[in-house]
Amino acid sequence: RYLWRNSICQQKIDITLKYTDEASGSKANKEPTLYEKFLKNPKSVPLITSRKLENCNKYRQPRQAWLETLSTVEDHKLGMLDLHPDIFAVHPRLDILYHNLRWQEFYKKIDYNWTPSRGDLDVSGGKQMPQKGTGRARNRNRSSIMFRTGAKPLGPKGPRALFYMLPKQYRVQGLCTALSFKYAQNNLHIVDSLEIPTDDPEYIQDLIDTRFWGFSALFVDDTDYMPENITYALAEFPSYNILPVYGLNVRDMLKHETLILTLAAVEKIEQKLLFHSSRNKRSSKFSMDTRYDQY
Amino acid sequence: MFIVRKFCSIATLCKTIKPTNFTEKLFKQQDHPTLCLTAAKQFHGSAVHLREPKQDAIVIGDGDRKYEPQSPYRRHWPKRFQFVTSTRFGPTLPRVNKELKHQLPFNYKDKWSDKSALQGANDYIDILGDGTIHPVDLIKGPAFLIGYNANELGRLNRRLRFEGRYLADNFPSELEKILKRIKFLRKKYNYKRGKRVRKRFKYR
Repeated sequence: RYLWRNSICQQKIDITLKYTDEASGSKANKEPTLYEKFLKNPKSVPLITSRKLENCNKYRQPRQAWLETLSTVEDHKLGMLDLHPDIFAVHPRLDILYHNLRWQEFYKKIDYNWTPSRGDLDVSGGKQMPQKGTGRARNRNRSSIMFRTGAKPLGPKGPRALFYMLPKQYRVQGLCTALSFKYAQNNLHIVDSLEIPTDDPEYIQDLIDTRFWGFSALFVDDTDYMPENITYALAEFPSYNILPVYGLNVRDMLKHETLILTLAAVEKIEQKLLFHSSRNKRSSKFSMDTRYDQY
Repeated sequence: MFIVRKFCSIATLCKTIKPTNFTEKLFKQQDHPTLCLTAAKQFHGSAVHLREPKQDAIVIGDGDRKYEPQSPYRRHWPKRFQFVTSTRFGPTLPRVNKELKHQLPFNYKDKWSDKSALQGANDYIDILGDGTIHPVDLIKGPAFLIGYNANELGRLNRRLRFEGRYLADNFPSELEKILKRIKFLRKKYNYKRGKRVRKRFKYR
């Protein structure tokens, strides 16, 4: 893997030249990308240096991250962002991560194993052999546990659900710890949008190879509907996946090496997680909004 | 050594040794050195321990001037030779000559299939979404088990509340089994707890 990475560094220049020539030659009517606009006139593109954070603790400094692009294969930074410390710089609680992963695995499970008990077997109630005389052990009907074809005592009975709900704060803090782990381990990248110039899957592969993002990547966007080109490009790679914000979860964040968020997605995540982290349980009166408060 | 006695010269010995003998595989268990030793040890005793000593001796100098000083960490092996008998017969020997039949194929699990790559996709949808959907709505299964976890008596009673009429019309024998089981469990759970069960006991 180390040698493969070094060989790709030497091919970096050829890859960028190839794509810029093709893009400029074939699609002249397309809008110029942010980087091309920046090259022509640096002042036309707005440079981001900070971001407004809501309810930021004044004793905790915000963390900073680059704003990158997917419009070129090379890595060009468009600015610098501030990230909320209560989401991206949480204390690394491994027990919360463990509880979240276990919950995600087990709450959906339904165990369909079933063994019959003595009353469930359809056998006649007659005695199999006389009480005395035969040299065998004494017995009654064929459903007893001593027989090979008899019942199984204390076996699994019936379809059984392994359902339980974690308290909401555990799940909120699970997401925050996963995000802070990704940020701390340099696997979090923030991007202006998921728009790509070409439909080619090789473009994404070269992009991820030059930036050393790893063998698996998770792209997260604001809404359900994604740009056309990226969906066609990522369809051929099973380890590069797209999700909307509401599909984000701890297990998929830890399974994929890198996490790539758009700016709109970051703002939505921050807003939702801060709202729920400071929210308390409502009263027990039933309504459609609070119908799941029993969990 | 009996070979030397027979031929009585090293030159004739060398002629008999062919270079191909060393490259040929040892097909017979008799020729296999380690298998012979293990086979022998199983059925007879061994005159020598097959373990090797610890390499903790200090060596000074080379060649003629080699010297091993007596150190406080000297080896305590070998002390004396004995005839060791073992009544334990170890596991079976490998079947070197036989061909493997009916070899099961080893199937690797695809960890990046469509199902397993994004397995926990919408588990936090009540936090990160509108709030109208709950992860309980994502569970697939019988209606009387979604969002419900209880012991067997509770599950059976809930099943009757959901599917009692359907079972009575179409599967009366199964309904009878359920009712029998409920009767049995009611008595078991309510009259037979206490000292008869272990600490922190739970009915499943």
